[in-house]
Amino acid sequence: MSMIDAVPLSWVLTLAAILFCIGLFGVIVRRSLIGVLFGVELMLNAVNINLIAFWRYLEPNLVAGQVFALFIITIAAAEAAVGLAMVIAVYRTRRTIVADDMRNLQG
Amino acid sequence: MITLPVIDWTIVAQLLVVFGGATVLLLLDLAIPAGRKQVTAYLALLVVLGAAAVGVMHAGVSGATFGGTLRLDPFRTAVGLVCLAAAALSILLAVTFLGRHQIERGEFAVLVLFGVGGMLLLVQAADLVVMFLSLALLSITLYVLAGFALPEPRSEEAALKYLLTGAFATGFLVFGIALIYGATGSTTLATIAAAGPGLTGEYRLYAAAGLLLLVVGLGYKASLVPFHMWTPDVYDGAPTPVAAFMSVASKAAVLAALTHVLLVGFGELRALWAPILAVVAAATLLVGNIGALVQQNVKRMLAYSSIGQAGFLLFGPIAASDRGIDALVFYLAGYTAANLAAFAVLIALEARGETEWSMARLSGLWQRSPGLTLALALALLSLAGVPPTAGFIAKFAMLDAVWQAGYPALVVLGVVTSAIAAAYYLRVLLRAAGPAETDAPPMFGDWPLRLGMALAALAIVVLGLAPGWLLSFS
Amino acid sequence: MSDLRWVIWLIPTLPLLGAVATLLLARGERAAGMIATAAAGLSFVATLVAVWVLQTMPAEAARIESVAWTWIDVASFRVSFGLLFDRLTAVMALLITGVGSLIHVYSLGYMRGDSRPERFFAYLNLFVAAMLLLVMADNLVLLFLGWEGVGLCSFLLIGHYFDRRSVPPGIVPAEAATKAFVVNRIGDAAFLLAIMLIFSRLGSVSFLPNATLGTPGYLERAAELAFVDVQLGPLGSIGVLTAIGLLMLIGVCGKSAQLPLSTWLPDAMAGPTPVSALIHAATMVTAGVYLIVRNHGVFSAAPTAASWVVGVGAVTALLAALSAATQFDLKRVLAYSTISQLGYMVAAVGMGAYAAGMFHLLTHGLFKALLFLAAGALIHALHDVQDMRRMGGLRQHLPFTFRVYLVGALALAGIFPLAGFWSKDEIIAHAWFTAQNPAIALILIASAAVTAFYMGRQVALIFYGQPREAHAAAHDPHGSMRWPLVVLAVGAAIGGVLNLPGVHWLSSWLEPTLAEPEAVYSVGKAVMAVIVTAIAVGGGYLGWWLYARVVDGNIVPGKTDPALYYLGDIWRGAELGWGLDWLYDRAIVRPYRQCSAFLGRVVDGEALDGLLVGGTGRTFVALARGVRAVQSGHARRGLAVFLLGVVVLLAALLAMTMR
Repeated sequence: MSMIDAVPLSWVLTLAAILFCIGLFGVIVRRSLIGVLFGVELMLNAVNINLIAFWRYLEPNLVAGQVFALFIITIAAAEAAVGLAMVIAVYRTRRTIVADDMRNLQG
Repeated sequence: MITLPVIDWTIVAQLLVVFGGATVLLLLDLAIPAGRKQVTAYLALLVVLGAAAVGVMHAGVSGATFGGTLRLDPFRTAVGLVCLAAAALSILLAVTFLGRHQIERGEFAVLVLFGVGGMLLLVQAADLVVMFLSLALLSITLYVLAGFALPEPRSEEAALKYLLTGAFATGFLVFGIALIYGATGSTTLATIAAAGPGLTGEYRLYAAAGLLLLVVGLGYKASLVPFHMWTPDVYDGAPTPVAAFMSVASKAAVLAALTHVLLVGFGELRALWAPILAVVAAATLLVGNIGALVQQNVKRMLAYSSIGQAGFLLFGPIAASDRGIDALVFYLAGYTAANLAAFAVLIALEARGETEWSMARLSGLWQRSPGLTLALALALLSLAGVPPTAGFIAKFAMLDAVWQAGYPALVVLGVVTSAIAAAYYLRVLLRAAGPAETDAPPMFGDWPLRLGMALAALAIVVLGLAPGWLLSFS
Repeated sequence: MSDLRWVIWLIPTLPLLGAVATLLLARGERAAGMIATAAAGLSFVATLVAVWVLQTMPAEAARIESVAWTWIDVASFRVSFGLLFDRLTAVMALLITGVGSLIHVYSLGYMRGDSRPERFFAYLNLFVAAMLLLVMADNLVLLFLGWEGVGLCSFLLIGHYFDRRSVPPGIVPAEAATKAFVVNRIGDAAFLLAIMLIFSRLGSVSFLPNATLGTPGYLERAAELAFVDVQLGPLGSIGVLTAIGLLMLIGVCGKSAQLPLSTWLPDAMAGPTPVSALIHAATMVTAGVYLIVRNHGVFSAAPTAASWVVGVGAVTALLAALSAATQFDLKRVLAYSTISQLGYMVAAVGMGAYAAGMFHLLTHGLFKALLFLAAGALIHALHDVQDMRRMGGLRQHLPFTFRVYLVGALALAGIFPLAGFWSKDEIIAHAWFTAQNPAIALILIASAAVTAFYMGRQVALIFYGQPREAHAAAHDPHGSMRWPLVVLAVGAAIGGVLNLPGVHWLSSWLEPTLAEPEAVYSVGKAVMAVIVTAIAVGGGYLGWWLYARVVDGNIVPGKTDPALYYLGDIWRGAELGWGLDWLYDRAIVRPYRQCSAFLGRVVDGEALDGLLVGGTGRTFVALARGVRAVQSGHARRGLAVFLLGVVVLLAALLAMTMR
């Protein structure tokens, strides 16, 4: 029995949704900047699961889903790189990576 | 055997010029000595002008390439030219600013080029994946540009906030694309549009939800409410030329993309997305214009003002008609000119080490420099929508389009918020015309800055007096 | 020589340019006066040229029409900006530019030392331009533009001394100017209604067919409406032409100071005397008469309206003359006299005696301007004394002034052979013989008697009797104030020659335009003329004798006229203009002022400014502070708001798709 028959699409989608929400939670709740970036990564990867599921279950012949997932991985990596570089820069000046400590700009 | 698809080079020519130029410039920059980094900027300017020339040359071209994922038509060409104009003017404004603020690094020009390339790609995209890619390119370059003034804490903070919000929004964006892909089986707009009528039941729901998330992902970049919270902080903290560039160019590209997605891809679902967008536009207008009323920091005020302008810009897709598209292009052009002129004035008055850009610095400007005051006046009056500037025609055209589309409440709200906006725009002018409240801040009048300011101001006037040629091309 | 037809455009344009040039370029009274007078003089020359061109044209087509551009073109309402110069216009234009130029010259001397000469001369020029536009317009709307223009200039010029709190005899110039404007407005409103009625029923406001616009004229077609009615709902119905005529009559009452809208003219004497001479004697006030003559097609087809015109004119003539006899201010006598003489003209044109009315208009223009300018010379000589009770016996000190004043007074009283005799008697003769209306004729004759009486009284009070105040430095005018008086005196003396019975130069000149049958001369008319003249001489002598001989000693500055004791309240009533001012003040002015004050203070100040405008501002600022407070600077707060927004929008979308 192939996976497609054993596991309904909705289960996979639910898994992806749960992961997405965990990531969301992480972004909103975590105080440390690194934690926020983790949450973002989790969100993006949850979407990847979604994409692959859709591809596999609905349109296995076209590679659009796979390609898109690859793109997302790449962009996520680029964003993470830039984000971490920024965190380092901030740490150099302020010695903190707590998001709430950056409040120079407000109002 | 791999068969390469047929590529229509006339469509990608502009992109090739920009990306090619950017890459070459990145390498060239290594060879340019540290004190002469201005050369990079001028070379970037040349690349931008070259791309604009190519764009004008291919102005009548219409077609698709790369399997239908990249498309060119008069609307895309026009918005692309607006983005290029914004980039050129921003480079002109930034050339000497960078040196003054000791952040003269060659990467600036390269980043701007990549950014504008991303914008062009976004405008010309006809496929959601390409849109995502280009949006990511554009966003990441702008994150770096926002933090360009490091180690200044405000700039770093701006960049970080921008990145966090951007990454967050990207999550929603891709989720939305995934849902759309799941519902329609494709990410190309044309195919999605074709599949539209056949969507029933839960697939329709997925498509609609996906569209909404997609709009969220795009809309945050255009400072739509409630995704606007980054705008005041980022505009305030980023170096002023970067703020200028961001405020106009990214909005233009994103709104063009939004228009394509909504009108081309999901015209079928118009009954669903139009009311929601109308509410979003209304909220954007209100928050933007009301928020600016008590700002003492000019850059923040311009940030809120640009949120308000975004609300107006959203009227274009809502109107969903040829009139709306025409009005959108015109509005983008006018708004670009006006905002860049306003920021140019700020750049002319900004010395190193200033933290808050307070309104008092503009007081008494009339006595010190009538030229700057004139540029400022033209810019603010155009943003407020006072005839005979471009902004008036733009607002009028937008309101007309929305009225014809059947949203009288939006028209009324647009007019009311314009009236509120006039309050804070004119207040700045009054301060500028009044007595000086602080010691005279330094004024910088080097020729690229002046040229940029003059061109922007000229555009405001010319578009205001002779709008016809730009208003009716679709 | 049709090549010179364009000259008619110079006639109103030159004074207009003069006004602009004086306002913008002139610095100092010499420059201002020179520019303005030159403009007026050149305009007169242009008028002469135009008249000469006109007279080379054949009688039936004796008109120059010229359209500059189409002013209004909305649906079927088309109005051109064009001039019509026919024989009637020529007569008016000659009077306006001729007397106007003389008064400009006079003003050069009279206004010496004034604080605002540039404005004065500019407004004077502007007035001449507006008045010329009025008489030269080829349609009612353009005429109305000139009509309003002269009203505006009248306001500006009456208020020339706006910074003085009061001017003899106790009038506030600013208030007098406002009063003139407001009372005129009532007439203007009625006139505007008449124009609208004409357009709606006849389809055009142009006097004659206009080739450029493609509109028909309305004058020739007015008779078509002779039996058409206007329905006024519960008020019944009224003939269209009657309605138009009555509405125009109200306009005429306002502009030409007929009862009951005459109250502004006596107060208008607060302006400088040249203004009184030009505007309130010779030109602006005659605009009403011109209007009726121009619209003779309407009035001759609306007998009801015409009879109202006659009635109003005659009654005004008598009552105003009675009022004139009781005034002790030099210029007020002349003001009431003007109202009375205008009554003559209005009655004349109401009866259809258009040529006679125009004749009287011309002669009156000459001698009334003469009288006003001479009065100005008097005031100048006596250093701003206008109260006749402070004068007396000035015959020896001011011989020149006395002589010209006497010429004017005799002309006004209608004594043979001066100009007034001919024109006034034409009108009376027409009333008795042609119109066969003895009542009107008797009223007019009575007015003539009173006219002579008050002129005799005035001459006596000023020039005869004991000098009641010592005026040491009084001297006759010289220079630019002198020879306009001479010219006008000659005109007043021999002006009758314009339309002598039998010869009838004026009537025959105007005949093609007015289509009036020529007056025939009979023995009856000659007898009537003799009788009227005798009455006038008698009345004049009576006035003179009473005031120069009988009550001479009883006239004291500050005390009322001795005749008050004999005539009591009638005298008082006449002096106060028959109570009209009092009525208007109580019934209209005071309630209006109170209402205005209330609206200004309560509604505008507190409600609108305080609550609405201020309140709106405060509300929005409070909202703005709220927005700002949300923007706390926490990065995560922004993300939270973001998420909240997404959730809300998704929920909304779900709700919409579920439906």
